[in-house]
Amino acid sequence: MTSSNADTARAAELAAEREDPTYGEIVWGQFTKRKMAMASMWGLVALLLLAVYTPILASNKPFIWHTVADGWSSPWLSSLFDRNFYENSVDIFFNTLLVFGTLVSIPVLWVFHSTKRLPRRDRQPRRRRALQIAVGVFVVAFAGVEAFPQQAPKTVYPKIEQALEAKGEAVTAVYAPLPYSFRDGELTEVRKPASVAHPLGTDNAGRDVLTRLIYGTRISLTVGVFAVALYVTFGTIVGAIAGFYGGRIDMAIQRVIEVVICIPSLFLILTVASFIEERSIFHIMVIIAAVAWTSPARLVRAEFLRMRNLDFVSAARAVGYRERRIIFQEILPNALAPVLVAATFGVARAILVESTMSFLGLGDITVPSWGQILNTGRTTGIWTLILAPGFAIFLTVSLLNLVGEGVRDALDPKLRK
Amino acid sequence: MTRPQSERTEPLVKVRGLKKYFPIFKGFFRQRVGDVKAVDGISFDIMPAETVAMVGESGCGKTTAGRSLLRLIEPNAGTVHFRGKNIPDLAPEELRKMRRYMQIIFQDPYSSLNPRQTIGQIIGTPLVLHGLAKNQREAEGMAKELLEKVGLQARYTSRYPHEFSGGQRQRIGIARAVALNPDFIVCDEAVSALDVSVQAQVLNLLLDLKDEYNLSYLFITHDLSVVRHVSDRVVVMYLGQVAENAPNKAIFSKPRHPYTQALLSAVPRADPRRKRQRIMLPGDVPKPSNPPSGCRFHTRCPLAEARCSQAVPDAHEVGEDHIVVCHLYDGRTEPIDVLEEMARRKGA
Amino acid sequence: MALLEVDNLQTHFFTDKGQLPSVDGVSFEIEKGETVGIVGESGCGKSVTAMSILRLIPQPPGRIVGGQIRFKGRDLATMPIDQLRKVRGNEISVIFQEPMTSLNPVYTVGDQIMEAILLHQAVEEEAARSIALEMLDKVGIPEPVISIDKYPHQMSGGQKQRVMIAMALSCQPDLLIADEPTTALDVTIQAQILELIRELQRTNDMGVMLITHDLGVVAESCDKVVVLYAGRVAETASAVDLFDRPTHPYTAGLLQALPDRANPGARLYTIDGMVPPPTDFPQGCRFNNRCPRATPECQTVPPLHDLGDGHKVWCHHPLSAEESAALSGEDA
Repeated sequence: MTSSNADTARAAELAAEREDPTYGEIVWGQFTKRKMAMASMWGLVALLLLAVYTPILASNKPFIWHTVADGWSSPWLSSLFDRNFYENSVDIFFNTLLVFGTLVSIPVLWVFHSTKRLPRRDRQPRRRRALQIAVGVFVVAFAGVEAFPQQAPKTVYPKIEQALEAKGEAVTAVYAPLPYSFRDGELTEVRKPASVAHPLGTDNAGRDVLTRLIYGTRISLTVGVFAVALYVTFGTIVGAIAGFYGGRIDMAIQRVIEVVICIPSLFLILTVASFIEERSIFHIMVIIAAVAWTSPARLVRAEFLRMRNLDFVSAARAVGYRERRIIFQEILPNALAPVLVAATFGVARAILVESTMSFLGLGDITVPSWGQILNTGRTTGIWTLILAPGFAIFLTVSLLNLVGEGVRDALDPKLRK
Repeated sequence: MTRPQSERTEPLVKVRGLKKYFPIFKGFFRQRVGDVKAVDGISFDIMPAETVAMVGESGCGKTTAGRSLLRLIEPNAGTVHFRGKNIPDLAPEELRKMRRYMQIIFQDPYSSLNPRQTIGQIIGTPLVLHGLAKNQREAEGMAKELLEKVGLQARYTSRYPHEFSGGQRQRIGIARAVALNPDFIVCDEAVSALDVSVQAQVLNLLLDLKDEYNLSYLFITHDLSVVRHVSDRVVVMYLGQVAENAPNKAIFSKPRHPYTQALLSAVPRADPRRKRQRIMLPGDVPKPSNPPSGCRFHTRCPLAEARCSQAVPDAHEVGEDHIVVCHLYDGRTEPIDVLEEMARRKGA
Repeated sequence: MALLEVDNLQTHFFTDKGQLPSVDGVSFEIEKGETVGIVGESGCGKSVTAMSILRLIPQPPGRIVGGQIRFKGRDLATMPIDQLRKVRGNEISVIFQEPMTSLNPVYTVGDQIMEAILLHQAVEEEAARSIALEMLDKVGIPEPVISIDKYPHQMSGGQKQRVMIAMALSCQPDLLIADEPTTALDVTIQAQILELIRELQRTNDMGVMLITHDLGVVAESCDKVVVLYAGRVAETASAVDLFDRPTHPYTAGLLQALPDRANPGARLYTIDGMVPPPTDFPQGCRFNNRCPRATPECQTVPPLHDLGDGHKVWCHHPLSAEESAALSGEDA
């Protein structure tokens, strides 16, 4: 057989080996056909990138610092894991993403690209392994950073620079476009209106508003995603058990759900929050989750009730699968569609709840969340402090809602394009 | 798969007094007010390499019986002797191990395969579970062989169910059932949802597999022409009980029970010249939640007598391996033709 | 002039998968008092044909793109909709397959029967009610005076189907279209319903168009049979002729594949391959990729052979008289 014959034979074989799209691939295909949803998704991706790479945009630690006395250094780089500067774990998390995430994503992207042509049987395990290693590295890095917190002395580089220049010494300092700190302000810069140096002005403590706004993205996204992840997981498991077993277990769970639903959630959240003295966003996430889990629980329960009498479940039982396997591996993958939609909308809702809490003064005051900025705006009467985060919340929530609708349509087999 | 001589006459499956009741709850506090007696004490045998057809109309309990036998539904009473054990008594772990020897094929090709799994996974994972394959890779290889055996292409293992037609999905379901090398398979209306030409293909496949693997089938169906074609023995059910249980030939040539006769006469035959008088049964099938007293068929039976509403009839043996549950055959083995008897009674 | 003349009917569906020719040139006739069976497997277009008669096809994505449907001389395909509405339920009635879903659960049975009467006849409500009672009695519903006020969920499947028939016949239509009326029913109930339709047809001299996939039903209930395959007519003949002398290879194949006509225990005859979906109809004779008699000639549209006595077949290589006699001769 000549090589060209072998090629055509192989090509024919490959063509015959045409692979069916998986359910996930079909849904993704449907999603990509919807322009609004795709555009919104890219918008969210941009927000995520903004959140990760915030310190590159706004930090008062210079990228490069050179003095005769100190030599060359990068205070910016060493500040990333400095607990005195970035006090909150959320910031540390994102900074770890910035450094290790970026490093690790390069080989992962390379693996994804190089496995594009392979058949699914070979492609999937490789990609999965690459992702596992990447996540593993990241988790180790994050754990390490958290376990061994760095604490550097507080140095305010712009001040040192000013001082040295006043003395006439040579100083080289390259800063981020917004060379401000998000927590410490300059008392000389209080309540400045918008200008080229401060595009959105400053607040009552002399902090640059735009910088705080950008750092606020981290908080909002974290609260949204983590709270939702928490309550969706919990709600799904509860709903699956209720729907699968039915009978008394279902009745008991349903009564619990009904009681939880009866409680006006926002008031409960605010009440609980007011009892906690030092509120952190982790408290807030748990509180949001504690009330919102009923929604995915009911959705999953409905799907399970519908599906547990279908033949393929009987077939699974007939073949001898254990109950846990039937619940989690046979039925659950089929039941997640409505949960996915609810989760997307849930992120938007969680962001709004957190903003409300902060606006009412019951949030975490140590972080520059958008609601917190709104709160400051309310108490100080500075207009930009209301308009800017208001717009940011509006934008994020709208993007999330559009993506949620796109996901819902993509999952609906009747709306196939 | 040969069996020793002594086992040849032993039934593979012995069902005695199988019962399944579904409780009815009414009222605010969900009181149990009664039961739907879906299966109310049935007994029959399945021999090795035998196809037993279970026929009846809706509400007769045949589907419930098939599933109760396999303990996909928990029976309320009765015994099912199989491989030396009583199925309803088995502990969960023992039951799980026993499952590989008794399998099932479902009616609806569109809901019997998990839409999220590939064909290879659907057929292969049970193989790993029961130790017939060491890992998923080996299982996938065995799945490919099975697909070819049922007339599909081996490369279909990487595909998903939605890509296949009803007939093809039934074949996949058959491959899954046969994969574990069971002793018997319950075919729960397995060809009822298929077109004529597809049905023929699937029936041929089932017959071939029966020969190759020495299988027994419990063929649950309402289609009597299929029954006549594939069964060795027929069990006729009415409202949760057995009406008649006889070899294929006897049922179709000399049916005894009036219900059997009515059923056979109601089936449309593909022969326009065949003009025959039908036995028309009045009214509808009674509700299984409130079955008639005595013989359950007496409300519709053209030959009902006084004793039929008063006492439950016994099972009478009217021939070799042929029993009828009817008062008319108390002490009589010769068939009573319903139409003739109706005419005779009218005249008398 | 026949009661209904369907002439080269074409109903296509416009979907994102393209234009699907679900019914692509179907022609047949129904005389007064005649029962015509439209038979075929899934996807052959029989339900679409039936629904096209009264233009009940969902308008996107379906549309009648060609042909005529002459009912008492008037073409239903191009009739203005308000005139067509006068025909629906009045001169032509339909009963559907699923009695569970074809009755409205929030209205009583009596209300639903009376609805049709009040719409089409110039009668008062009192009169309509007594007509409804009469119909319920005619279709064999026990105690009509009580049943007329029952809701559908209080009735069994067989009873619901009888109610459907009562509704359909309340205005004494000239043609009844029955779309798989007994498929969802038990066999003994099926016998009752088919007998009922037969009786009512006799008293009203009604034409009946019976759509089914069950050849047994066709053999026992129909005077004439139209066999559809992939949107086209394969063969049409009187019931006796069709079963005695199947001429189209598809008809012959179907009959041979029936367990009813085979020797018990023997392998059933099978037709190779599967019914093609409307997206994938073969060129020329649509049966050419499964037919044991296919030749390259079959890539073109098959011609009509008129065998007399209403027996027509569309095929390049129809079975000869000897060949088809040999087939039916096997059945003793």
